[in-house]
Amino acid sequence: MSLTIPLITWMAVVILTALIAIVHMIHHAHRRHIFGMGTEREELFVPGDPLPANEEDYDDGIE
Amino acid sequence: MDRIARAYGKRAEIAIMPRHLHVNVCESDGSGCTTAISSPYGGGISFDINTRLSSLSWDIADDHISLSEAARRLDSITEAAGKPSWLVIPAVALANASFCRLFGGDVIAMAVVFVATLAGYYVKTELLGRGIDLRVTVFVCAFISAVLGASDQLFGLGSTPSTALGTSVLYLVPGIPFLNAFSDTLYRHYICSLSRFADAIVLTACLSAGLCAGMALMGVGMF
Repeated sequence: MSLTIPLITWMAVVILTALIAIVHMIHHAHRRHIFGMGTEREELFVPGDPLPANEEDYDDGIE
Repeated sequence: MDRIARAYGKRAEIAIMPRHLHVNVCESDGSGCTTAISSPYGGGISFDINTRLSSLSWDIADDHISLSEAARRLDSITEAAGKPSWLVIPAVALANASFCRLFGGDVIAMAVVFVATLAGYYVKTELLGRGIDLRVTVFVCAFISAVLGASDQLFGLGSTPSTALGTSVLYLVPGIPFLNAFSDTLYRHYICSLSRFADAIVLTACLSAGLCAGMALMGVGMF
């Protein structure tokens, strides 16, 4: 048997195992929230600030 | 279970069926029996839990701890988290590499077996954690470990490539089910013994299939 099939099989197994490990680590890191992205309003909210759903609406109803 | 029952002045009769466990607890004079039927825990075998439960049964028998205290300790044992995988996986890989050494493998073969077992056992943990059938898991992990175990033969490393290949899948051998089947035969639980023996045979067949598939694709061994 030529070396092609064993080498391709070996590389496929190594890449597949590495991919499983990388996906697991990313998933695990995401659960731990090592870092995240968000707005400042998620950390500090002052009553009266527009809610995220109403950010476009600046009309506070005062005429 | 019999030891615990006698410690509290009761008698216990157990019927171990392939998919269920029947427990009958009676007063010492045979009156007032209570029967419970349950399915066995579907998870993997935990030697740590087995050891702690055995220790609990001896504490009940020797120290006569109260029923409430025994129940509390039973809950803490069964609900305790397992050992962390970052500790277990390298330990299993190290044990398998040691087996390779016992069978005459050189340092290169030991390193190959360590890596093959590390990868195979890691994939096994992941697949079982996702609820994949144990038989499919054993087949896949045996294939992965066989392919990686044939690395030294593929790249011409070391002097004992066949030992590395043969020992790379040892961690998948269902030794405990075979031992349990033999133990059940000794205690005349024949139905459970045959059931556990069949389970062990099926797992061994899956392991062999994965190993042979790996060997065939890597062009090593008897192919």
